[in-house]
Amino acid sequence: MLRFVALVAVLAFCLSGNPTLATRVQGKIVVTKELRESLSELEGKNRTAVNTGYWNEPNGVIQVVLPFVNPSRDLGVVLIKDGAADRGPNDVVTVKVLAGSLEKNLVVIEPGTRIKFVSVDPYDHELYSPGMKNFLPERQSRNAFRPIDFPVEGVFDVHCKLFSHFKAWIVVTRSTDVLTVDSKGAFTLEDMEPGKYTIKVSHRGSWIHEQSFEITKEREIQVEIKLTPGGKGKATEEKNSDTDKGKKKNGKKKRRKDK
Amino acid sequence: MFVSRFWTLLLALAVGALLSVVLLAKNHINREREENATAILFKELDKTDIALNLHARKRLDVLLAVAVDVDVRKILADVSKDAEKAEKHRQKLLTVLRERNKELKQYAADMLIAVDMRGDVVVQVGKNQRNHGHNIGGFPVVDSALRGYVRDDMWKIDNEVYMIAARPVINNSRYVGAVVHAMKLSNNFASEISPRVQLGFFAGNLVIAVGTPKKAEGTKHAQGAYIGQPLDSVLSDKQFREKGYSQVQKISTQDGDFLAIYSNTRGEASSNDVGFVIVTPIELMADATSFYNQAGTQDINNLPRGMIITGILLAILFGWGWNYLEAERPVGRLMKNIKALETADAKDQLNVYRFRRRMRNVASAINKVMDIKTKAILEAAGSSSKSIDSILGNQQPGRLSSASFKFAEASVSDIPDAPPPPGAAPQKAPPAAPIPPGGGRAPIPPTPPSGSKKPPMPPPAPAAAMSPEEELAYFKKTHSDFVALKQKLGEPVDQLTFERFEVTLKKNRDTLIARYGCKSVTFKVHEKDGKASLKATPVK
Repeated sequence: MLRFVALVAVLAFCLSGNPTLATRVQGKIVVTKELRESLSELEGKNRTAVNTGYWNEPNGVIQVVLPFVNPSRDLGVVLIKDGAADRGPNDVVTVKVLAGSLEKNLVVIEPGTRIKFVSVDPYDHELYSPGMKNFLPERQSRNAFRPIDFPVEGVFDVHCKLFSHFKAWIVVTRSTDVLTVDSKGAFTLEDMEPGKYTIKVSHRGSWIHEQSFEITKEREIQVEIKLTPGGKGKATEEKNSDTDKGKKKNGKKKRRKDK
Repeated sequence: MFVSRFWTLLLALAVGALLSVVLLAKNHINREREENATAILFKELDKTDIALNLHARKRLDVLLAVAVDVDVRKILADVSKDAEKAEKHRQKLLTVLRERNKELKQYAADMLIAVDMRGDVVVQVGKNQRNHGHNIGGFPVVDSALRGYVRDDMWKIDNEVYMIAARPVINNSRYVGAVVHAMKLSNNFASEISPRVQLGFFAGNLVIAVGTPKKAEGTKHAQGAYIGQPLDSVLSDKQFREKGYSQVQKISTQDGDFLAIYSNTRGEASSNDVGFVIVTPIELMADATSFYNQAGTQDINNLPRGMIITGILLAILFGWGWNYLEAERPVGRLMKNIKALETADAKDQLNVYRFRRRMRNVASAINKVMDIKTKAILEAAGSSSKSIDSILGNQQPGRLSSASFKFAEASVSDIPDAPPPPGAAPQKAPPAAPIPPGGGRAPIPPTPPSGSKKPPMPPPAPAAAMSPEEELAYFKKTHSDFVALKQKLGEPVDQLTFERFEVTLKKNRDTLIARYGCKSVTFKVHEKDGKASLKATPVK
């Protein structure tokens, strides 16, 4: 009798579902060839006789590759939940200064966050952001750091007076979360509550992609974001599925609706 | 004189034109030299750009030997796969890069860097050899090399400027990293790149390298400090920003003047105001004498001396000719006519119609003066007392001292107008007095000295109408008075014997009596101008 009661209880628990169980989101940002080609084109347009040297030609042995876009370094990805409150200012964010750029070319922070720029480069730098009165050129040697506050929303270019090629962007925006993306573009969101979400991707200081999805009661959702030139609001594909249902079948992607 | 004056005007105009031509030529030559120097600057600007281009190509080519080195390829492939292996391979890669760098000889790098596919420095040879592990993938030239491009650039690190060349390293048909060759801009490099014209490099307002042209010995070179002087204004100049090169700048130094043109370089360093400057000396003429100073011996030898000398001689001859025709010949003619008056009648005057223009005026003036003087002499001759000099004219005082008898010039025409001496019968025209040589008229009677300190001695008795004994006594008395006065005035009296004195007095007495028809003549001894003098006075 006791065994029967216990079995019924377990079945009832399983069948009723757990409304507080969070959903896991597996995501991937795909940098398309088109985007890299557009970057190459842009690079060609910006190239002048002055800012390049005398020679810039393919090596002639193997084909040259398109500009690299490293999602972990070059992209800023934020998650915004409808109706949710902002995170509020981050703790102090430490960013390493390298010879040619920041450790991350694009850093997304909440308004009111302080960034500590730490130089790990053997060369001196004089970082500044045009238009920011509290971020003027100042000599920074190796291992020295500069704390800079970013109190208001906006996109702030970071330049170095000593290295003209140096470019980075600080994106100050309100969001639910800033996603950490690996070098292949993969990210994971754990314990997501049901609701409507939007993912926004920033590259070189511009929002280049925006994609929405909704979490209901599925336990795992797969989201694939394809970055294309001028891809804001289009070319999105969502995969909401159980464990492996979002994967490719017969070499084709299967579009499924949310349940 | 008109033509002479016109000739003088012509000569003055010619001299003025010559001076203008010389000054214009100086300005023209200076401007032409500046234009030539400017043309040289622009030509050398292009040549330097080409030379830098070729040098970059050469560096990229020699870097191939490093990029294809087997050890370099394998090590970078290994490190690109696993960054942890960098430490393991570092020493070997360092040795390999050093050897390869030595083999580059004149193109050996000041910094030779090997980077993995992440852009991290695995090994750095040369300057800051201990540095490694830092990322330089953000440099466009490194990023390009990692993507397969062969590219050069220019970096400014601190106050040093490096010319960069970068190549991808390929292993098994895959990019495994890149090698970066950095060569520092130096004075030697500037000399090598531009062997004929001075080349310098600047970073901001600092001149970081100045070359010494090897094939331009003997030419002046500007020092770096002078070359850097215009940089502040050049870098802020709009044209420099827009066109990439400045206007031609003039640099004045202790060693002379120079023209310079500033240009930015290719590559990233141009954003940091790195560029190069071409400098060339310019010899500007300070003044017209520079023509001679700067002329060569051949130039001077090539001058058409015959033509120049002929021109000068012709100018002189023309000048003299016009001078003779218009000045010397009329004056000579006037003189000839004046001399002719010496032997002419006393009433004759110059015929003014024989002269032209000014000479006619001169002749008229002479005639007028002659009239005035004649009138004055006649008035003087009417007085009761007459100087023996004025009466006797140019009569020599015989053996007496010349100081005793002075004969001033007087017009011959005065004599007839002179009133006859008292007691003498009126005569129509007395004989003309002897004309002094060089004078046109009779001697002018001397005026009595106004400054005589002593009053004249009382006149002795008349010498005529006396018995011979009385006359002898009178002459002796006059002689003794005369000698006494001379001695008193300190004049020599050694040769003033009575015999000579008597002869002279008698001769004068006879002449006066013959001229004026007077009965006798008195002689008065008096002092004149500090000397003893004798005055004869006709007595009726």
